[in-house]
Formats: sequence, C-alpha cells, structure tokens
Amino acid sequence: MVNGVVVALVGLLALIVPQGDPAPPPGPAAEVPSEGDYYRLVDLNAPEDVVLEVGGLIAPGEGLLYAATRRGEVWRIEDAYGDEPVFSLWIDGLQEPLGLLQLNGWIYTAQRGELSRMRDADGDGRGDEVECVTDAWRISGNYHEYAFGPRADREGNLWVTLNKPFGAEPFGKVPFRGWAMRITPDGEARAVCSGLRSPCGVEVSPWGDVFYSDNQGEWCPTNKIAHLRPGTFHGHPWGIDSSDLPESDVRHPGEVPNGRKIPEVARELPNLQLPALWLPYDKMGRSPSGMLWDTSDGTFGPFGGQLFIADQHSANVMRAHLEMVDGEWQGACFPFREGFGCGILRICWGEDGSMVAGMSNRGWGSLGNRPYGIQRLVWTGEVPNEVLRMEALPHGFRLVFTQPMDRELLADPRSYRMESYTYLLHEPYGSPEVDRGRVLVTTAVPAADGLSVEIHCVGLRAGYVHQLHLDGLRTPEGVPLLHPVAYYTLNAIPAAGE
Amino acid sequence: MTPSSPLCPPEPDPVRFGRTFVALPAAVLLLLLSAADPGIGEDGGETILPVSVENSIRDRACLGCHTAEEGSALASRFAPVPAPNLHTSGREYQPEHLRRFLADPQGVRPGTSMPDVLAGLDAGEKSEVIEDLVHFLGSRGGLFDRRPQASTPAEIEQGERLFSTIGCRACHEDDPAWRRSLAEKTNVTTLTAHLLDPHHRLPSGVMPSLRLTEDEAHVIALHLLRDQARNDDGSERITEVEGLRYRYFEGKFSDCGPALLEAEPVGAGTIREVGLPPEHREDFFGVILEGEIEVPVGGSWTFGLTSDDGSRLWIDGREVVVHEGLHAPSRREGSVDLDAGWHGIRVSMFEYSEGEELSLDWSGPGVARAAVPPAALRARTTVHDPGGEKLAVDRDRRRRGQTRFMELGCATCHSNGAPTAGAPPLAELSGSDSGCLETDPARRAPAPSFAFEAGEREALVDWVAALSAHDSPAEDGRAIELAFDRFSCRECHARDGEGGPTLEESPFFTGTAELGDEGRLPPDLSGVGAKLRHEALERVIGHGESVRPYMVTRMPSYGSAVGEMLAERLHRQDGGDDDAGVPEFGTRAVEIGRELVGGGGFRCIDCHGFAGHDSLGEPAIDLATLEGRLQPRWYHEYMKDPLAKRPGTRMPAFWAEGLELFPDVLDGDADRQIDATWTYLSLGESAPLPPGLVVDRRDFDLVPVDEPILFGAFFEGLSPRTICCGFPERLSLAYDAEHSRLALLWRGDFMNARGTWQGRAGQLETPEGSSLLTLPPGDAIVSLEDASAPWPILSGREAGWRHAAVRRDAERRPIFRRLHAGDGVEVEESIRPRYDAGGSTAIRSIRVWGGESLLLRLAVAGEIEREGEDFRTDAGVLYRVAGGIPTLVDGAEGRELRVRIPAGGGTIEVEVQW
Repeated sequence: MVNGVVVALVGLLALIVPQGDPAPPPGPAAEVPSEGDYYRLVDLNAPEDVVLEVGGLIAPGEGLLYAATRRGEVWRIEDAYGDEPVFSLWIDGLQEPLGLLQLNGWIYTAQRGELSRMRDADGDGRGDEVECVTDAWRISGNYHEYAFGPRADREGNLWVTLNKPFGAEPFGKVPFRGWAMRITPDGEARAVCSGLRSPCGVEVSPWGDVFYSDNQGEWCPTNKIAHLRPGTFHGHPWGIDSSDLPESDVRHPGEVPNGRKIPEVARELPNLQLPALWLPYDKMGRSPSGMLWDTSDGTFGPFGGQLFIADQHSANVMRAHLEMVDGEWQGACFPFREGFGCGILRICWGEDGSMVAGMSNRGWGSLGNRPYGIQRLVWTGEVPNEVLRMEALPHGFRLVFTQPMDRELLADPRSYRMESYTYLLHEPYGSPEVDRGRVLVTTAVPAADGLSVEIHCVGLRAGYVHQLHLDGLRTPEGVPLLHPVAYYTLNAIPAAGE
Repeated sequence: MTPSSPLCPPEPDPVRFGRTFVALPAAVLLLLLSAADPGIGEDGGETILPVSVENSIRDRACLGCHTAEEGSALASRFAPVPAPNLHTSGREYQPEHLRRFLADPQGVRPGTSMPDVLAGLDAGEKSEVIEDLVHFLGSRGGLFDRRPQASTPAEIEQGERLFSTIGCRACHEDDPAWRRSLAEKTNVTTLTAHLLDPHHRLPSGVMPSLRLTEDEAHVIALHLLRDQARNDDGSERITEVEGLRYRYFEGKFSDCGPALLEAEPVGAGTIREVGLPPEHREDFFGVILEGEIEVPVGGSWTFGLTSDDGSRLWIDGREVVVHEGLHAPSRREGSVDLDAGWHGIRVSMFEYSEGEELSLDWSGPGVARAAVPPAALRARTTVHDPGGEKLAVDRDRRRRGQTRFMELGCATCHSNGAPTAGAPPLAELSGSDSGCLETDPARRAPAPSFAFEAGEREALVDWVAALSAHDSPAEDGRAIELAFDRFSCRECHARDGEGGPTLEESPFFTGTAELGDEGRLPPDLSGVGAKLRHEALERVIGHGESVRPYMVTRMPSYGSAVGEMLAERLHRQDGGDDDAGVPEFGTRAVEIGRELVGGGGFRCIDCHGFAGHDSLGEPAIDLATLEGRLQPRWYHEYMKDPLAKRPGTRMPAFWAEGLELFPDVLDGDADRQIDATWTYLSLGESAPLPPGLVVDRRDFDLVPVDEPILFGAFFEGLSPRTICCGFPERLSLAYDAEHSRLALLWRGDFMNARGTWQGRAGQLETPEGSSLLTLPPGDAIVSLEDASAPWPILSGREAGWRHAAVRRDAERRPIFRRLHAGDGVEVEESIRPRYDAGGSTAIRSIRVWGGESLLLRLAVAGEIEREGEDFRTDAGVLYRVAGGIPTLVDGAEGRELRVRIPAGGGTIEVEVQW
C-alpha cells in the first residue's frame, strides 16, 4: 500500500516537474574560468641523471624535500622551492620504498619486505642507518607486492597497507598480502584489516581515523577510499585465510559471494567495511594513490578540513568532503585539479603552503607527458567557484558553495540532474555501474545568502552512489561552477531528526 | 691444394684450394717446399714428405686399410682422419645425390678424398651395388625431407652479406657449380644444422664453427641453397605484398623471448603498418611482424618502438630495440647504420593484461621522426623447394646395402670400423706403383681409385719407400705447419712472412674503417706463442674467442683438441713464457697504473674500451681483457716499441727514445711506468675503472665508480628481499635479508637493474659478473657446543634470526646487522675489498655480541687443506682467519671450515681469495 502511494507520487511528480536542463542564464557570458586561474603548477627542476620516480615525499622545512624513489633511493633536495634545487643521494639500496614519514628524529619508510626507519647518524648530510622496525609480513617475489606507508596515528602506531600479488609468486605464496598492518611504537605488528587489493595511499585523518585508497580490479569494483577500522574486511578474498594466524585481528569473513550488488553483500557479510567514498571509474580518476587532509587553515584556499586524493593514472588531484552518518564515514568527491606532468603517487604539504606532488608513470602509464618528477601546486589566492560540501539529509542533500550563487537558479529544480548506481562485488576486473536509477529533485530551497541550498529528492537509495550534475548553476555575475559535478556515496540515509 | 677438406661423399662444401699441387718433379717440389717451410728438412734424409701430402695421407685414410704397427709413432702420426658422419645420412641427402656421388665421386665433387671404391666393378654390377647403398644410406635416420620451406629474399640477401664478410669466403668460393651441387644435395634444415655445428657432421674438425646464431646459420643456408628458390629457367619465385606479414599467438607471454618465438600461431596474415593485428583478444597474446623496410638514404637510422606491453625490433637480424617488460604504452629507441634500400625487419610484441599498443617510428638523414609509412614496408616471400624424388625403400636392398657398407670398407672411414680386409699392411707395401697407386685401371682392381693430385703419387711412393724415416712424432714446427695447412690458417693469417689474405680476397675482410688494415685484417701470427698466454691461445683456437670488436670477419673455433694441441706447440715453438717479466705487485702501482691509463695519463681510453664500456673514440681492444690474454714480457716489449711487434699499428709509442711524457711519475722511468700499467691491468675483472672513462649506464647497468652502490632486488635462488652491493673495486656481494645471511660474492660487473627498474619490473635478478663464490647454505653462525657436530638444518627466521639493520660506514660500505632474540646474540657482518696480485680479496668481518658457544662456518668443500696459516679448498678458495680458532671437521657434504667464536662475542676477520 505504502509502496503504491510512493509509485503514484513519483509518477505524478514526473508529470509536474519540468524535465531537462534549464535555459542558459541571461546576461553577458562571463569568461569561462579554468583550474589554473586558482591553482598554479610549478615545476621542480631536477638534474637529468636523477630518475625521480617518487614513491615517498616529505617536506621537513628549511627549504628541504626528501623524495624516496621506486628505484630504492632517497634524494635530499636542498633549496627545493627555488629555481635551482640541489640534489644529493641520501641513501640507496631500498626496495621500492612507497612512503616517507618523519617521526622522532627518524625517517620511516615501507619497503617491500619491511617497515624501516632511517637516519643520518653522523650528521654528514647522508643517511647511514636503515633499521628494520618490523618484517611481520613477507613477499613472494611478485612485482605487485608493494607496501605503502607508513602513517602514524595519535597513539604513535604506524600503519602500512600491503598489496596483494598479481601473477606469478616465484618464492611461494605468503600470508597477509592485501592486509593493513598496525605496528606499535616498539615494533609489534598486528594485522588489523583484510580484503585490500592495491591500497596505494594510507593517511590518518585529523580526528585520528585511518583511511586508505584502493585501486579497481578483481573484487574491487571501482576505486575507493575506506576507513581502516580494525577488524574489518574490505572485499578481496585473496588473503582471508591469514585471518586464522595469531597476528590477525580480523574474523574470517567466510565465503565471499561472487557477483552480487554491494548493498546486498554488505547485509550478508557482517564485518565488511563499505568505503566512505566510491570513486566512479574514469569520472574520478583511474588509480587513486596518495591522500592529504587540508590542515592548512586557509593558506591553500577554502577547503580546510577536506581530503585531497591524488591519482596515478589521471595525473590529477581530487577533493572529498566526509561526514559521519549512522556511525560510519561517507561523503562526496569532486574534481579539483588536473594536468600534472604525469601520474601522481604522493602529495604532501610544502613549507610554503603549496601542495607538493611526487610523480611516476612507470608500469601503468598515465596522462601527461613526463615519466616522473616533482611539481608543486600553489594557490593563487583567488577562490574558485565550487561546491564546497555536499551533505546528506533525510530527504535529500544540502549543497554549500564557496561563493554566493544566483538564488533563482538555485531554487529551480531543473538546475539539478541526479542519478544513482551501485557496483557488483565480483572476481572480474572492475564492475560496471549497475542498477542505475533516476533521482528526482522535487524542490530546492536556497539560503538567503545564496551560499547553500537544500534539495529534496525522490528515489534516494542507501548503498548507492548519487551522481549530481549542476551545469545550470551560476553566480549572480553569470559564472558557472568550476566543476559542476559531485559524487556522493550514500551508504546510509540520515534518519529524520538527526 | 690438399684436400684440407674432406673426404667422402655427401660433403656439401667443397673447399676452394688456395695452394695446389703443382706438377713438378719431386726434387723441385722439395726445393720449393723447403725454402718455404724450414721445418721440413728435419726428417733429414732423402725422403721429404710435403706437408700437404702428409695431411693427404691422413685424409685419404691410407692407414685405414694398410695398417701400421699398433702404438707406433707411424700409426699415430698418420692416423686416418674420421670421414663424414653418416649416421643420419637418410635425412640429410637427396637419394639421387647419393646415387650420383657413389657412381663418380670425383666427377660430382672434384678434389674429394673419397676414392671410387667401385671402380673395379663392371657397369651392371656397379649400379646394383650403388642402388643397395642408396637404399641403406638414403634411409639412415629417416628419409630426406623434401617439403618446401618458406623463406624471404631479404633473408637470402642477409645470408649473402654474412657469407661474404664473416669469413666463409676465406675457404669457399660461391661458384655456380658448387651452388648447383648443394641445391641438388641437401635441404635448408640440414645445411643450417651443419653450419651451426660443423664438427658433428665433419668430425675431422677441418670445417670450423663460426659460432653462428641459429638465425645466422639459417640465412646463410638459405643463401647457399638459393638455387632451390628459383624456377627451372633460373628466374626467381617471389610473391610480394605491401606491408608486413604477421603471425598472431595466444598465451600468457611475459616477454618476446623463446616462448613467443617458438609458439604455434593461431592466426596469420598481412598488415599495412607496424601495429596490432586486425583481430586479437584483449589480453594474453603476442604477435610477430616480418618483412622488409626500405631506407631512402644511407646513414644512421633511429627506430622508436612504442608498445604496451613489451616488444623488440630486429633489422637485418640484428636486435635494434629491446623494450621488454610489462608496461603502459611507452617508447624506446635504438639506432643502426643502414645502406639505402631494402632491409629485413622483424617486430615482436606481447600483451599481458590491460591496455595494448604497438607502433614504430623512424628518423634518419633528412627524415624527421614520423611513423614508418606503409610504402616503406613490403613482405616478399619465396620458397626453397629441394625437389627430388622420394626414396621408396626396399628392405632387401637396404639390408644388402648395409652389408656392402661394411664389406666395401665404407665403415672403415665413416664409422670408425675395422680395417678393410685384403689390403696389405703398411710395412709390407712394395713401394711400387701397384695397388692404389697403379695408374692403369685394369691392373688396379680391386684397389679403390683415388684421384691423386699431380706430384702426390710420386711423393707417396717415396714415403712408402722410406717409412722408417717418418716413424717419429712430428716436431713442433712441423706439427704447426701441418695444422696450419689442414685448417687453412694462412687463408686469413700470415705467419713468418707467409700467408694472409690474397690481393683478390682482401676486400672481403672488413672492419672499422678508421682503423685501416689493422681494423679489418686478421692479425699476423708470427711469434704468437710468445704473445698470448697458453690458455688464451687455447681459447682463441679452440673456441674462437674474439676480442677485436672492430673486425667483421670472425675467428672460427676448431674445438678443444685442436686448440690444446696448437696452443702447446705454438707456445713452445715461439718460446712463450706466461710468468716471465711479471712486475712485483703493489697497491701503489695499481693507483699509478690506473692514472696513467686514464684521462689524465696516456689516455689509453681514447681508443680502448674498458670492461665493456666503450672507448671515447675508436673501438680498439678492451683493456680489461689484457690480463687474461697477454704474456707480461710481450706486453712490456710491445709498449716500448709497438711497431716492432705489429708493423703498421696505430698504437702510439708512448715511451719512445727521448720522449718523457710524465717525468714526475716514477721518476719518468719507462720500465717502471709500463710495469705500473701492467700491475693495474693485471687485476683484470677487478681493475677499477680508469678515470675519464665515460661509464655507460644505459640499459640499467649499475656501475659503481666513486662509492658502493646498494641495490635491493628479488634475487634468483636467494630471496625476494636481497640487498646487493657493488664496490668500486669491482667486487660485489648479495646479502639475503630475508634469511639474514651473506650469500654470494663475485668479481667484475655488478648488476643490471632492468628487471627491477623497467616497467612493472619484479624480475628475478642475477649477478652480471663472474668468479662467483657461493657461501655455504644456511646460517653462518650457530650455537653448537660440539665443534664437529652436524650443522643445523633450520636456518634464518625458522632458527630465530631476524634482519635488524643496514648501516653504512665512512666509505658508505654496508654493514649488515642481524639479531637472534632467543640466544640474545647480535651480529654485524661486512665485506671490505682489498687489491691483491691477480684480483681483489674480500675481507669478511663478523662482529658478534653475546653467545657462549657460537660457531662460524666459513666453507664447505670436497676437500680443504691447511697451508700454514691459510686454508685452501679443492675449488681453490683461500681463507685466512683472525680473531677466532679455525678448525676443520667432516660435514655432511665434505669438509667444513669452522671457527669457534670467543665466548661473549668478538670480531672475526677472514681474508677470502678465489
């Protein structure tokens, strides 16, 4: 009966709500702004013989950068923000280090086979000690067995994420591939999350929760950002048998159903962790890597507290806003800045407030025309016209903008075009967007200042990505949004009264 | 000349004889020969046997029938040379060829040593016997394969280029009659196999191996058998299409190596441009494109191969671009000098998973980088069709043929069989013109009919008459002359003023133009036994070792037996001494020598490469090979006066009279300076690179110059967590961090990082260098009360060891630390290289904290001897131990050298020389 009413209502609305995009706004067409007007790319000049395939990057101050490369070297770069940076080989002989972290006088890095910490003990400007903090995991000799990190949480634990192999394992299968490891300050390792695939980024949020980025493939229907809540399983069955080993803190998830829709699988597997963000393939990059929370307090623009996500294929950085609903993190992601020299592996904050990006396209190729290098992204001081946040409401969403928008257009439901879809958790490589459905925006209520709007929707579905196009919105001066699109991962719809 | 060449029947390659018997009376011959060959008079008597006749006696296998006293010098000196191997003659020869050859060996193959053994039979009987033999020989090892074989004109042309430049022409002339006889005789497969391993079919060793690749042998065979690719009227049979032919394969290829090249295609066709075949699946496939490419102008051409995943490019059979690995679309280029016109091209590519792509661009004189246009590509094919008729084997004939093969004496020569019955022993020969030497056919039977060269018969009569004069082993000089004659050495080399390429053959010897004749003509061998070390002579003659990158003509290899014999004789004859004149070793001399060789000294590196790195200019001999090749005395004399040893050489006389280029170095003393360069170069593969050398780091070679290089890798046979270190002293180590053990030491080149640094990488790495020293397996240090107790099997992590750290000392050498938590033991281990005479020594230092009854195991070998303070294994590894008490015990695998570590810890230092 209730369903019948809803269907009837939807049918009725379909008749009364005007369809299609609104007509272009009146008045003179403003010059179309571009990303570069707000965020400028600056090259870091490197000598020709330094193969700067960056896998780890830190900016400790005093004009210095340290870059770990996929060739197992760490380069110390002096005067890194000037025109003629000076490179010196700080240490070599590491195995594909894919992360750098400065902590307690050491520089930490995850090598393929161990978490290490390094230092310059004699103060001659070169690293001379590489200590093994833990080698609680092993490698079988497969190229895909990368280790990413580490990152330190508030308790001083170090987090490392481990790729699963892809292809031959010449030295035999080993445990804990596709797991996240948490290592105490005195080197004791616990295997805290399972079911990861190719978790190239791991990052601790300002509030202490740890997140990672994962790459689309088998059992990972599209790229994603997920919370590493200890004890959770993340969907890839490769390493689940390690659950039975004493170092594991994760219950064996049992048999993972092959080919079911994500919301259904979530109901069947109690310890399955849904991602906070699905990054729809190709629309939001193809290979997410390093992440970075904006802790800059305004020196990098208006996005304080938000998350930046780099991409190893698309040579871009994306942006996300997370919120907690029903005890879990979820939120929306947006395009931010594309056009880097090549795919990005790592981003960090430079001492001048810029975002420093370390790049390498080796092995997978990427957009851009360089094989590797470092670039900085500098805010010009101009605020781009963007959707600042997209927040879930019981009957729709609230959109907050960086600049006041034309209220008439904000109030017009035709300014919003929304659809939703989900994915299949299955063995084949990646999943199409499945079970697509239209989401109707019935009414839109702008705030008096034009900085936000509440849209009321029919057809919201928990467990689905909600893709919103906003091509019709303009500022009162007629300027469109720089990126008129947002993708909200609606794991849960907030209950009324929350 | 003499049948320096073989022998009997199916002998595909008639040798062009540079020196022929001249029809002169024996006395005149004697005069001529003794003038040319001082070794010949030594038999001292009236009988002088020309060198060529002595070889001929062995080639004709006279003693195969006319036996000499077993064990006598005569028997061994004139022992028959084995005739061609006929074990698989059925597969190798056209039956019709066998038939013709058996009927008239001389007619089919003038100059053959094979006699006509059927000459005494009447025509009808003869043809019956031949038919029986054809049914036997024509079915041995299978029947002749008459199937036509696809080939291309480009391959034939490539074969022609090789044939005329690498040295085939020194002995073989490409004349139409020979070509026709080859085409009527055999097929491409047989000839290819023969060119690859001539010693197999011709055990006499007279046809040397030019160390061809399979592709090279194949195209030379196609060239030599090109008559099979023509119509009866002599016109060529060629089909031409635009673009390239492709073969498409499916499978999980991980490179363009043998797995792809030898796979069975699942599709084929032609394609206009270098690209993917029109139909292919998404992942896991491979493709090979073949045809010809036309270069509009001669010069240096650069080819850029873009692919996802790996690919390779060959031009005229030469690998120009290697772009292996799993990777996204990326471009890799290579350059090659090409004449204007058409050249063979082959592109191979494999796709593992995800994206796939393939394209080829070029740039050259007047052509900017662009995709190779379709008009510049063509695929021409032809067919080598051996023709002939299939042998319908008659079992009775075959059985009879086998019997006749034994009875007629064929097996005597071809199967190392028993002497043929009926022939009188050598000692009983009358010395007259009877038997084989009889000229009247009617009176000769049943002796076989040889086609003697003019003068040969007379020489044989003389020899038979004075056998006792030859009943002693040949002296060195004579043996050298015999070998030089038999193996045609003088077709290419002069020695003692005789031989070397003739004026008309000279143009076929090519090399690097800038080096003139020195860069293209094979070296003069006068005094070579006092120049090259004994072992180097063996390697060059026996295995064709080649050190002259500038020469196109190749030194062939004659096999170990010839190499050993000639090396020994030459060394003795020329007064060689590998040990005379070695200067006293000192590390100071190493340093001075290195400076003198380098860019701040005599700049030897301007012309000479070093340890695989190119010189700055001309490509003269790599200096790092000197130590293993030259006798020190010769080196010293050569440095003093290069022209005296090598007339016409471009090598400057740095120490000529009155010239003092570096008066402050070693007081300007020429001898001491030369000695210093020798001392430096004598380190061989351990010699540090000279200053000023442009180190070639292309292609991912890791070359430590100023400080050690550390490199972490998946290491074949060790673990995927292995840390390798290359020292500038050209010593390297591999430390297996997974199992906490030093595993390998080696000298020479360090490693190539391609497998770890290119594309998605993840290949298993191996050492690039040589002189590998494998340390005993398992843990080096264990806790054992009883010093002779069996070494524990459990090791590494399983035994409680964990990798702890890598520190770097002031010279940035690594120190590896490991811990045994259970025993409370900490160990630090490092290697320090030190120069010593003949190479570098590894000083292995092991520092231990804690532990009460620890044992260190240094070596496991079949036998280990104590030599004063040192221990030497049967593999020649020397250990000198300080800081602990060494002891020899019997272990499971032989003897073991163990060291008791002082209770509570200590430092053990071990010098390891190998």
